[in-house]
Amino acid sequence: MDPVKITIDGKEVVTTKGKTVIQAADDVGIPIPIPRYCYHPKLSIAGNCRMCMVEIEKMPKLQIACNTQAAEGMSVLTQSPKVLGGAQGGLGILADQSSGGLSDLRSSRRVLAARLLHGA
Amino acid sequence: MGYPFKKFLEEDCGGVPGGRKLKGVIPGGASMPVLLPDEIDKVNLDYESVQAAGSYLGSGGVIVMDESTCMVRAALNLSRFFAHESCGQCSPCREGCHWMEKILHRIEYGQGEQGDLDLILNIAGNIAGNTICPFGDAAAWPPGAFIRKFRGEFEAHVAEKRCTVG
Repeated sequence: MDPVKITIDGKEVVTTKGKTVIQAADDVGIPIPIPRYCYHPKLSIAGNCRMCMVEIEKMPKLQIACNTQAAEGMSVLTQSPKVLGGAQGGLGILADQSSGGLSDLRSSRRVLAARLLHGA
Repeated sequence: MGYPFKKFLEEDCGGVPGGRKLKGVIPGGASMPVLLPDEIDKVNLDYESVQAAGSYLGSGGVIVMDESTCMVRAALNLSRFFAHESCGQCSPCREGCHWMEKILHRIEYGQGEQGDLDLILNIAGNIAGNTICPFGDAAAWPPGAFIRKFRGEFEAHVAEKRCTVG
């Protein structure tokens, strides 16, 4: 297994070739996990919920962490304003239609991410 | 290519009927941003000059609207199309297109609320660039452009709780 060095939120992370960004992040356990609806390690990658979008240096658009393979030297941001905007927007669109207003999406995103990750 | 749009509209197409004034032109099909009369006046029908005016040639389907057209209704019509056509594979487009249509519908029919316009701009911003395919971008551009360029008309709909055109 070839090691691949990437940075996630400024911290260097060593993962193996072929792993995706979301797997690399889950393996090291970053403080705020990348949120996800449709990704599950035991299922094939669908890439349609757009919850796990992260900013990757030198890529003009946000990318989905579940279907982006870690490449040597890649710099990933999971908490940049652009990411929070994109994921907040995604979650906002899903959560907001029922709640009826733009509530504190950042905290609800965290709560949701934690729930999804820990299965609560 | 490079044919002046003004000449195209007034000479080749017979101009705006009934002596009415031009209100807006979508130069490249339903998904491209709408242009104001003073913006379209300078446009020659080629990629560069349409882009310089802030829109795109896209499919090349020109939509011309005169002063009897309600821009809220036009935006609603386009949003309804995109909401219907959205395949539903990814969340931002599937949820966002229907949401924008719902909001535009309530504005047009006198149920608009304060903040609705910014909410549409916010939703559109969160669809564009975040979807799997370019349909999301196409669906998000028109409502944003309509609101930015005809904001007064949208605000009048919200304030007076009715359609203010015609």
